[in-house]
Amino acid sequence: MAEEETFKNFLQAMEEENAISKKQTSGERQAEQKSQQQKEQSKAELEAAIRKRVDCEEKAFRIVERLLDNPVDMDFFVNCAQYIEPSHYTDVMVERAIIGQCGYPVCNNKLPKDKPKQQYHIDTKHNKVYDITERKNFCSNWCYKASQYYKNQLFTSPVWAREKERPAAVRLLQRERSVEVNYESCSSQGHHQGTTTDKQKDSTEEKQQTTLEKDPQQEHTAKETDQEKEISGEGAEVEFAKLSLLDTALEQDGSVDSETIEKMPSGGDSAKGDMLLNVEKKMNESQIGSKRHEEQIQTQTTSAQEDFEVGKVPSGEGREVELQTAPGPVVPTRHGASAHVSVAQAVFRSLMEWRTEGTFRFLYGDNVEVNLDLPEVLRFATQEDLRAAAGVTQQCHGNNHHSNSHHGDKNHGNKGTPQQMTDKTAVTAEKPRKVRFEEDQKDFSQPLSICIPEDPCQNQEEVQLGSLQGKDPKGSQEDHVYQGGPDLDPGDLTRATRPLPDLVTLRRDAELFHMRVQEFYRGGTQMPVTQDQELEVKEKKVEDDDRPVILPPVDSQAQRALQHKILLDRLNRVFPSVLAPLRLGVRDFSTELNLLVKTFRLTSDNIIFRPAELKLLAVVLIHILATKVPVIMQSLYCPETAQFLTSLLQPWRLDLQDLDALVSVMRLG
Amino acid sequence: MDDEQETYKLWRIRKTIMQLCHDRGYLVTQDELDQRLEQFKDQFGDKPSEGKPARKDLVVLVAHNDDPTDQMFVFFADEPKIGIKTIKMYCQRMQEENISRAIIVVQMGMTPSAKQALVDMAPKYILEQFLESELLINITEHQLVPEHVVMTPEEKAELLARYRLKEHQLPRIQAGDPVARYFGLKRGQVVKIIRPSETAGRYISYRLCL
Repeated sequence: MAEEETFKNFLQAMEEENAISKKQTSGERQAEQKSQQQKEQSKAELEAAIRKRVDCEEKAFRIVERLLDNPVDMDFFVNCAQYIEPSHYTDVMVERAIIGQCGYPVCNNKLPKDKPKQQYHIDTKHNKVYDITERKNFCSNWCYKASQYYKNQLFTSPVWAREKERPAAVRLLQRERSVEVNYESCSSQGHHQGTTTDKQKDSTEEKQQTTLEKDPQQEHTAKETDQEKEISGEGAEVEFAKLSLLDTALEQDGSVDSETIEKMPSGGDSAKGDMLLNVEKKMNESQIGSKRHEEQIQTQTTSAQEDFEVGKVPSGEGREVELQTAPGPVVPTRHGASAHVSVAQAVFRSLMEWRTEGTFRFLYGDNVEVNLDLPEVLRFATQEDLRAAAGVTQQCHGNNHHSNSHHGDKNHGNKGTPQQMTDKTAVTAEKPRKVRFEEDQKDFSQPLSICIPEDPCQNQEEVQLGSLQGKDPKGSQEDHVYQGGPDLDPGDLTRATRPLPDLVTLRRDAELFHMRVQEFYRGGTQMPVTQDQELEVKEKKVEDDDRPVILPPVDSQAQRALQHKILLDRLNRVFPSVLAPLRLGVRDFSTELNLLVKTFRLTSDNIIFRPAELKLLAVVLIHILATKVPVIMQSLYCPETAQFLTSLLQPWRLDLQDLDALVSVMRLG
Repeated sequence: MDDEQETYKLWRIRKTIMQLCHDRGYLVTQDELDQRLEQFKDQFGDKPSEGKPARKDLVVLVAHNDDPTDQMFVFFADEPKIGIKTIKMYCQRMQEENISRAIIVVQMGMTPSAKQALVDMAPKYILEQFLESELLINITEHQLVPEHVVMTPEEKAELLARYRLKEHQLPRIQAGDPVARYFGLKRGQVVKIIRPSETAGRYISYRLCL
């Protein structure tokens, strides 16, 4: 051992010195003898001190060795605390993991065979990466937690310097309902190994998991904030008087969440040998857990809110009310057999969500007045849908006003997102995409960029779309959906109810923006001076009252393109069965279909269909495309076609009128 | 890692180990020193992922040239990181075969307590540890590493007498020096370093291991 060696060196040096001093004259000898005695004394002291150090280290090493072998007695484990350092304990954990045992010494479990190999766990849900190197050494989250809890109580002072310190009162985490906790942690280990499920019910568990994954310090801080009264494990002596106080305090706390309460004995003063078993309610886990839970509920509500907004549910004037009233049960309005109607309903809802102005422009030419109001036929609409549709109109109005304030009217406070101004010129063109960006972020927890075009050839199209939107008084309908972001403030709500601005002003603004968009794509930013000034003023305004600019780093278009591809793939799978009787081929209209789908506002959850729905959807899309493709029109007017369609719709208990209703979603007027 | 790479790595490591044993004066046949990759595959197999060869199959036992009872083990650890238990296991094996020296080749490293366990056994059983990555090449063959020759106690005594030196007057080399580890130098041993010199042709220096 290194210390022994240094010690030997020291002894050698001393001897040499002694040898030299002996040669000196006898006159000085007496004085020397005294000093020599002193030296020897100090030498002996030093030797004793070093020996003790070595012994302490040795003892720590023996303890580490002992803790490797199962079974380890609880009391022994608690007593060990004063003879080892955290580094020793880390060693114990690793050593135990190497021999295939759970790293927590008092746990007798074997480690699971299918240990994850990777170093990090990527939580796709919360967009976080956790280092699981340490966690891999344990059989369950509970063991990991308990182990960290123990480790945090160990002294960091060197083992040989501890004589004067009073021994620590180390406590162990104790589980009350060991079986259930164990099960829970096992199942959450499933997440751990990368099998992330999107089910809501699992997310609670996962949250807990993530809490536990965090490093012990965080846990520790959480603990300290939650239980300020609790005696911190770090070196504090147990104050028994406090404990009783604490008990009552914690019991009160305990009533918050009785399910996850764990009991924990406070450690005894082991030097005196009396173990004071004072059971107190352990709130660390439960509090964190319940907090998390609350958080989750909040996020759920907010996300639900977002869903509503995106899905056009709330009408402009009564959003609060909307949020309180739970969406009514899905009642089929026409048929009793809800299962069959739901096929049509699903298709109907998807179509409603998909359609954008671009869709109508694509179908009926660029110059049509687009009205995204309620279609007249609402046979499939549930109450929800009705409300949603009502919301569309309301929001259209609100937004027109908003866009006005955004572009022209400087007197109005502008609460646009920072991105809007950072990528100034592209803004108008990107409006529909931004919404998607928000949704994507929600669904995939991926930071996405908003203004990178999908492909060069689409640019022009996008620009046109954008400019048209700007021109149209009823355009940019989703504008304010993302204005407020997830935490919408009341100001946004009021904006939606402002009166419609003048059409002329809108047109002018739209033209201005159109110009800017074109300038942007041309690569230049030069503009007439007056406009620049205007812009500057607006920019300042925006910067003043806005949140800091956050530009997500990844291309949102990847998601969008992916969704297009998924939808087209699925459709292509069902087309053959539908097209054959119509004597059509996919080739006849694939380009048009492509373009049509491109105009849709797709999200991750409205492109998922059951086979039956997909089939119906295919038929509806063919009908919709009939306006663009004469071949389809021809084949649709054949008598056989009607027959075929009737038989096709038969299993879902639908008839041709229903089909027509669906098609009318994409019809003008 | 795929099998091809892994096999190649194992072959390199074992080859270096053989050279190491040879340089330390243990008896290694010329065949083993010259073993090519194909021969290695024939002998041990070429699928490390399926345990052919498992690292424990590569174990080497060599006897010293001068004293055949002085034998040395080379263990290859299967676990990426080895702990006290593995060390204990190796020690038991050494005890059974009555061998006092061994080299452990580890993949990733050792736990601190395992290292301490090595030190604890030091006087009776001498265990040295090498990382696999350290053995992928033989450092003594490198251009910038001069030739080192370990001196016997007699040679050392002669050297000290010849120049009337005391031990501590010699230049030193650390026991943890890569070359010192390669030769397994112990405290007090002297190594003769022969380096080429432009003026003198050869320049010889001596270093005492700390």
